[in-house]
Amino acid sequence: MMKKFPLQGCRVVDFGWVWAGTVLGHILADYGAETIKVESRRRLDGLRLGRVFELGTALEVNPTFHNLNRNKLSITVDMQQPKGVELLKELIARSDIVVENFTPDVMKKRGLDYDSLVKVKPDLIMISMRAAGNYGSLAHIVTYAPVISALSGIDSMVGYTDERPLGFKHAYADPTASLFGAFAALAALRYRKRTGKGQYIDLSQWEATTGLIGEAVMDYAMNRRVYRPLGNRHPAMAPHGNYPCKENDTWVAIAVKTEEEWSGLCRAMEAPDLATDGRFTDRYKRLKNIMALDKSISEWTSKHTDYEAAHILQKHGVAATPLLTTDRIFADPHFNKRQTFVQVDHPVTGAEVIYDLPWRFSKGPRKKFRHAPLLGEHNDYVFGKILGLSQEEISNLAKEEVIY
Amino acid sequence: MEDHLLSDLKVIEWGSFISAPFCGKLMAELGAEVIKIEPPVAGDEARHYGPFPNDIPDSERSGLFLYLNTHKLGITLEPHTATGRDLFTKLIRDADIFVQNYPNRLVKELKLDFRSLKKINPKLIMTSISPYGQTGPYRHWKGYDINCGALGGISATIGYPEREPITCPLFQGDYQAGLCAAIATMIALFERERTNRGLHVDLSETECWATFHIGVGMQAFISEGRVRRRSGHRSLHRPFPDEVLPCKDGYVCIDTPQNRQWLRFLELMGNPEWAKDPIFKNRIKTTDEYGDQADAYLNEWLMKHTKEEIFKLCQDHKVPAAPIRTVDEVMEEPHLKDRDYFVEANHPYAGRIKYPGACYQFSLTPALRDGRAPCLGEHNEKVYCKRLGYSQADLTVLKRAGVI
Repeated sequence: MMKKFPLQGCRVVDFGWVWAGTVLGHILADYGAETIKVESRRRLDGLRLGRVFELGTALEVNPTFHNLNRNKLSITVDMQQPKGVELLKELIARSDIVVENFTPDVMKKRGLDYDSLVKVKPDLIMISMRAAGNYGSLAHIVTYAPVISALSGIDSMVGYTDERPLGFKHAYADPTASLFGAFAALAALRYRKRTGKGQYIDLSQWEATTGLIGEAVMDYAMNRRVYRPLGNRHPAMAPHGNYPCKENDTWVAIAVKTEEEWSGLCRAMEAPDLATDGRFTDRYKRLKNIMALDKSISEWTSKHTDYEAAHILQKHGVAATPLLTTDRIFADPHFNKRQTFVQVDHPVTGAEVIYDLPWRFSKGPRKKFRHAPLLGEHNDYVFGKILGLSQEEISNLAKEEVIY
Repeated sequence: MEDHLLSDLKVIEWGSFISAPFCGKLMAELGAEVIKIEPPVAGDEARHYGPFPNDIPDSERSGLFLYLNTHKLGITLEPHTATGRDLFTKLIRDADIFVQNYPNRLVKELKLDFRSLKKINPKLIMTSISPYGQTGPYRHWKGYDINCGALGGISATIGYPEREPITCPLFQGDYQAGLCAAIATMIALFERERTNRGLHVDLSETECWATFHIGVGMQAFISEGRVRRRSGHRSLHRPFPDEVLPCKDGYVCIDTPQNRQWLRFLELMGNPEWAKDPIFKNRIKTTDEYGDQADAYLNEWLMKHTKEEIFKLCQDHKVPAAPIRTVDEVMEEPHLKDRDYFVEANHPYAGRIKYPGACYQFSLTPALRDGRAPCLGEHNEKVYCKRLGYSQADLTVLKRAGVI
């Protein structure tokens, strides 16, 4: 029988939690992999608890969790009990990929590290996505994503030009690391298909983030130059910035590189004086007189709404976009037309919006979206159908709080 | 020949600046054969961007280009000429993957769009990276990294509320787009196996921000009306402290969402009296309503300690905190040395320089480490003569005619 989805037939045992651990698993699940999320009432994914902006104890109501775990199945196993470990090993023996993002000792202590697992599943692919990797002097570091982006070097450049560093205020390192993990896991899965060989992948979230500042690394390697906060300035483009618009706290992002774009900007602003102004007649001069240039442009943008300004400028071949917050992204016609967000019904919270992926395929079935699983929702399916345990065995394990 | 993860893949990259080249680099690093097509004479835009050793511009020594194009073969080709297009299609004929990031209109004009190319190679996977995607009202809009960051929602989260929002440093959107394109291309390979036919991947840089990074918060806006806005050096609606603060010799990032982390943090500071101030009763309120006051309390202790002292003390007490590292410090970090993270490539013009390496270590098929970026047209002979069967004399004519 022909498969319906590209990753159908691939089974993933997903110990990934919170944000950095979970994106990889949902991408595979979105394309038909059977991703089984492992939790236990003794160790819940922290995002299952509470609402977005409140820490709390309520289960199944956090929409962020619902977003990051859509299409997954859920089982509850207590990893601290030997019987739980045996159960997981049996499942992993029938699976293809194991994903985890614990600190280095957790899986080892339970006998669930790669060396132990490869004995039950010789062609296993296992990926660990730890803060600082699986070994090294700081492997046991205590972090969250903001701490990782601090160490990576990128935070030292987030801020207004030459002022104090502000750092990323969303957990930049989290999705970034998980995306690198998805690429690595898929490449390893293809390799296994070709050669029959599995392997262990040690991913460092820190290194994933440092890899995105190659330019700064190269400048230091070449010239011993150390970058400070960069703001909206661009070394080779002027104008380049977010300019104020008519309504309170609204902005339009404008970037001009070529002379053609520059004349487009002058036409759009209906400012022939600007086009002939000696301070702005080529890119070098515009870069040198950026303050005066920014002032002239701000005067014009302030008379328009952000969308108006963007539309006028784009009509004249200038790269310009409104600067949007989440609410306005949700209302924007472009995202609506592309169906960047889809609605899924969750059994506890009802209709909720989750994101689709940032790419589309020209052919093939549209991805299916099933709500994030309730805690332990698929215990019967996984332990009964996949592992072949009887109903009685399952309920005994539940009584012993192994399945818990 | 040694077998690497993606050794069986032939990739044609027609990419400029960051996004498509980064996608090509990720595949080349894992062993795919990536032939990079550059315009004759000028080459990839990144060749002119820098940084350059001693700040002397030289298209063979641009740090950004060198970093983004390791392990590739480089050829020149002018697709605007009829012969150039013929050569292009010959290369496409036996490629698995074609990655490009030129404007949608230009690609169509040159008949290098998927519809035209699939007639030449029905199994081709074509990955198009564009600022906004191939569909939707903004598909023909012009866009640079700063525009995608604004429209995609990330810029709205960086900066002080009373000042302009700022974009991410060093073109993060372009990197995110390249990374997501690599994931999508891997999944497309599985889809091709399923259907035995090629497909087109439409990747939107803006959507990379709007989904993986910003999209997780969409439902919070819909159900609770909460919208993330920029909040300077601290994250709002999070337990105090989750912020970047100055210390004796720099800045540190501290993030203590759990109460026991906060208590340990107080303990390592010697349980200061000020912690009894009622503003700390509810630490989310502390952040949202008394942020400056609370910072002032912390400030006293922080200013007495260096960032490395704070790092060590906090980590010894399992408090998630770290210095805001600048790029020089990152490159000297012993932990990254333990992991052999930085790689060194020897380039005929740029010499031996340190580069960021791969963030994943594969136990069986390690990523390549010592390859360098190609010089402009370096592999013309190898590709056009040895692969496509042109003679050395043909090559000279092609060069004179401005085709290569």
